[in-house]
Amino acid sequence: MKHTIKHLEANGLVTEAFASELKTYQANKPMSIFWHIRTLMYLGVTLLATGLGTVIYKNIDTIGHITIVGIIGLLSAGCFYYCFKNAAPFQPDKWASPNTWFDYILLLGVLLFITFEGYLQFQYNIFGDRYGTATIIPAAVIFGLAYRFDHLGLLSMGITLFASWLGITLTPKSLLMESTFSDVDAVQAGFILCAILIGAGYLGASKSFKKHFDFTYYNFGFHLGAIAVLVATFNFKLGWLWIFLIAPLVAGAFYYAKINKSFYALLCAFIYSYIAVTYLIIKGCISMGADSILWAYLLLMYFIGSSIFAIQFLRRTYKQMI
Amino acid sequence: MLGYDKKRRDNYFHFLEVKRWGKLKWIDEEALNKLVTALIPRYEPTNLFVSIGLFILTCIIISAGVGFAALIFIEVIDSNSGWFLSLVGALLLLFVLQKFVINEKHQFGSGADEATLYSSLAFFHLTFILLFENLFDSTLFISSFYFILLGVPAFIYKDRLLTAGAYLSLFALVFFLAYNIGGVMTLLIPFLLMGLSFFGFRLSEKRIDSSTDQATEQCWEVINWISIAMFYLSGNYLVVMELSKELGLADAFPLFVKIIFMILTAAIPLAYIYFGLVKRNLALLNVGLIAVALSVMTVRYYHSIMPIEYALILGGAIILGIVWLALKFWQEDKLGVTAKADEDLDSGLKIESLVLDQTFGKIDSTNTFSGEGGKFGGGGASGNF
Repeated sequence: MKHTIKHLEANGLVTEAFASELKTYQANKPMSIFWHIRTLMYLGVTLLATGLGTVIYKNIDTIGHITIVGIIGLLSAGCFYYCFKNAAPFQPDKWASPNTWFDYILLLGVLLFITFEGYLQFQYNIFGDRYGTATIIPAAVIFGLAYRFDHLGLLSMGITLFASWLGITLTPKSLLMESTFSDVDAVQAGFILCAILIGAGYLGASKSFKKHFDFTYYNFGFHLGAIAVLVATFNFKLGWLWIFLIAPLVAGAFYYAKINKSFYALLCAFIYSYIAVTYLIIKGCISMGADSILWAYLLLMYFIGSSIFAIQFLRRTYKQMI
Repeated sequence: MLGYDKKRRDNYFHFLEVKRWGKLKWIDEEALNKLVTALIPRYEPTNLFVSIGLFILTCIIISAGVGFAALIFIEVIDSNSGWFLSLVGALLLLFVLQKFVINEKHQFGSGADEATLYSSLAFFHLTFILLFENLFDSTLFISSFYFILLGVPAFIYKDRLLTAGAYLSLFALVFFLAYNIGGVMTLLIPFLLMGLSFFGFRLSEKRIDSSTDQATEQCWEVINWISIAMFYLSGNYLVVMELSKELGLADAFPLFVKIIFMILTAAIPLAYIYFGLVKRNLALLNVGLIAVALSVMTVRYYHSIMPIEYALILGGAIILGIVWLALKFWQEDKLGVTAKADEDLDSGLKIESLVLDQTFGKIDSTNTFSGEGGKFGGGGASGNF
């Protein structure tokens, strides 16, 4: 800021009063530790919940475990009681938390609840062999809490649990490195989840019911669907037929990017579409028996030409969007 | 001339700043437009995600171009000509960067310019490896080489990543210089590095204050951050002892020196946090907080006082306790520190009619400050991308 004020003042572009006001403000502005506080709160809650979870894990067959589990259950209930007691009545729009601690107490409550529920299932088999029920119940609870207390972090947790109920592990590493979509059933489950998530996001946005949740739904849904398509394309017999399914996803992402001026969505849509088109071209070359040096030249020219085109496209779209 | 156009680059940063003022409503639409018009010529800013895309695509173009050239010159590339072709590649990329990307397309921080610059340096690197293969066995030569290879373009292009690389190479250079001298110098390595860090810190503090443009200031800030981190790491007990073992000096340090490192490991993070808060220095505060975690890990590495699960619970409880105390203490702004968000502080400043109308003279200005207080909430990520 200091360089800008100096430059504008030296060139007579701002009044002395303005420059002086900003300089004084800059000199006296207190240092904000807002994000330090939040990071430490998140770290503290995570450490506490992880520590308690590990205590349960290590003491699962010992005499004192009932007491520990009881304490965890009570702590979780206490956190939820605090949240329900202090929260404002439900609103379909975005609302601010009543105080700094609120979001983190809610998060701690949920993490302890998952530990508690996991223990009950392991030790007392409360859901029997219906492992799906053991997953979908906490997912439903977390979704409910995310909507009730307007918490995007819980929404992401709920989506992850819902996906695991469908048999899909939703972590970037598992999606990219492990064979999450190893068979047609898993890919189909991926598509179903993609459709549900995008549908939920669209419904919420169109009905103005937690409209600000739409990005989280779209983000999960889009990546899940696109990765499912790419994995199916690369691994399955006649896989290239799957690639066309990426078109509606990419079109949707471009549309979202344009409407919401989201450069993140623009970049994601662009990357997936570039991979899809490049794959089709290379696959086409291979199927045509391309084994001469001429094909190598042509492919390299494709990469150069397509990248130049893509740069122009990105820059043009960016200029249109700002 | 090599490098970016200073005027355009300065106006780029001024443009970003006045846009921020407009967003905060410190200036009205009309004033913003006047300032934006006045800040010409300038490099146009690019969004981070678009920059990532442009960086990837430029890398693809360069890689494909290199592949293309390699196919054409496949007959003439051998161990004797490789360095020459690599040098040609480096110079060609540097030419493209300067002539086309910077001078013609006016790219600054767009991803395309960084990709071209880094690729050119990679080719220079390859050239020297092919030319002086034998010298690359010497750690002293390697660190000096990287210091020059990264330092010169860092100075010319004011690139933060290259600045960081060059500065870290300087640490490596001092380290290997002392190690190669041997004897007592080997035992002095931690103190030499701490001395270098301290010197770098003081120098960067002065340069940040006296810098005349944003790009230079940002590079000095990088040096400032690295100096703070390296000062701690150079005196960290775990780092010193484990490195000593690697260098075959396991028992070389006398007990009192080891005690000094133990004290430094415990004291530096606390000193950083204290001075970070007192001097309102975010770099000290941030590194101090990370250093606390590293110091705890250092203690646990040598003395496992309690099982991990209880350590986690205790750690979590202590952190939440500290947060509670901090929030209680900073309910109101104290010692030049606040628990409010930067955005809330900035949006509290209300200024009106402040831009000088170059045609009709100055517009009367009135200004008021009204603190709006902090708005909290939103534990999850916001959807604003």
